Amino acid sequence: MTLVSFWYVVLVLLWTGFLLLEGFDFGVGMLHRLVGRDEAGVQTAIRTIGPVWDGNEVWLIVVVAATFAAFPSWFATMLSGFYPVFLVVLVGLILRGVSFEFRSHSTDPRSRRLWSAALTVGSLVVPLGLGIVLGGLLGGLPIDSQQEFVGDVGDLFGLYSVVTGVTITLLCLVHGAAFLALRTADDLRSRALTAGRVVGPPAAVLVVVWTLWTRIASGNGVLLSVSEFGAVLAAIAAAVLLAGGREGAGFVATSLALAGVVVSLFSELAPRVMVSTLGAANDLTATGTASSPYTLGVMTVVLAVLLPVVVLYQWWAYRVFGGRVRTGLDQSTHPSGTSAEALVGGGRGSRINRPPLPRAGAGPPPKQPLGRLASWLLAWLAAWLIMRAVTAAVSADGDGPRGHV
Amino acid sequence: MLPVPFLVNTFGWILTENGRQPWIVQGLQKTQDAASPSVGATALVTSLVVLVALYAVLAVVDWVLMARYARRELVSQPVESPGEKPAKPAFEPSY
Repeated sequence: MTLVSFWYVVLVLLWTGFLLLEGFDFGVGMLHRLVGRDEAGVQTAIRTIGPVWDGNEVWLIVVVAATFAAFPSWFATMLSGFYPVFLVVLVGLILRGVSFEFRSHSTDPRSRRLWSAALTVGSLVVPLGLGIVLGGLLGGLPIDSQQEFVGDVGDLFGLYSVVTGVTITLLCLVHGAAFLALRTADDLRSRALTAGRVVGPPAAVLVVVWTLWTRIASGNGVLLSVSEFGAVLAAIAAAVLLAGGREGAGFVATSLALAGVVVSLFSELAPRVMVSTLGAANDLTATGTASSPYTLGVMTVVLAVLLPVVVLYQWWAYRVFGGRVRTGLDQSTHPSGTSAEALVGGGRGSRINRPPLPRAGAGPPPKQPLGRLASWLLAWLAAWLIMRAVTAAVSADGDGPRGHV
Repeated sequence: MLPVPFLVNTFGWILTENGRQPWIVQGLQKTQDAASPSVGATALVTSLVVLVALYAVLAVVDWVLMARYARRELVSQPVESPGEKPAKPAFEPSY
């Protein structure tokens, strides 16, 4: 596998990870008023994503930054071409991001309603806009031979792009309903399941339509690829499972459906990265837009060092904040004890009652300042050693840095 | 004195950006060569107006909230003592 195709696969994985994780908090954001109903319910619904949504959002930053670093020409054409869409997405992300904080700090019901509305609209607009961008990559934009977008705003909203956007948004909605059912109890859970039951079937129908359209329009006949077939099966399974009240399996199914859609889109797109409607000669390809092998090599090393760390702390966050969230602080009847209580009191800024860390062996308790200082120094030493090794490996590896200032 | 750090920070930023002109990457690329040909003046002005308006609103809300919380009296929170920790920490990831 060449470095270019490796980084194409990395980007597909990053988009998949982003939609799997942020997808459910988009869904919860769209549903929190509807499922939460009263103030206590709304707060509980928001708390299910309170500690994790901003970590999930970082995946989008990584997607865009990795595109910038690995495929700069693709980044330039995509971001410039979809400028108005990205503006709307950014505004949605900003409003959504502040709504969590402002809502929890506002005292009067009117401003709570306002920030709730910001959360709902932001959570709807962002997956819709990003879905339109993803659809547009394959659906095609007027791109000239200089890799410049030469159309107007209307060209960004082709039918295929819009259908892709709506499909992804509906999948996020079902994904969020399953997550909300998984993380809540009693009335909230049953209302979340109802939402999943209602949105599940139309989402499945859209996935079938989208998949067939994608396959046929790519000129590969009607026989679906593995990922397309998987997306269809998973979307149907999600609708059936949620209708049967099985949110755990349903969440797995919505995750697979989202992953299937992203993988299908990018595998029909490869080896191109953006299709031009002005002739196949103007299509942007992965090799044609990629950075130099040196840049890709450095990025590969950085990825290998940092990705395990990111995966580890995200896993840790989900572990700490696991369990069902209930309204009120009723610990005695709590099946999962402290971890769920942490969420009830959760949200940033509040004092969190963390369960003690599981310790292997009898080390000194981590609260001692000297032990903390030592581990902090050790971490920096390790990071420095790794960077030294990486620098040595890279500068020994062939052409060396270009454009050295 | 409150606005001074904000002003100093902002002017420092403006100074570096202006000082680098006409380069966007010192010695490598001119700012005029870095501009996107496909993003027109209308799109730029629209985005500038939208983002400035949005950040102005957020700044006001932020200021009101900070002022409100600064004026509020401190309420002593119940301090958790180590002995009060639950005896059996349940640790059940649900997914």
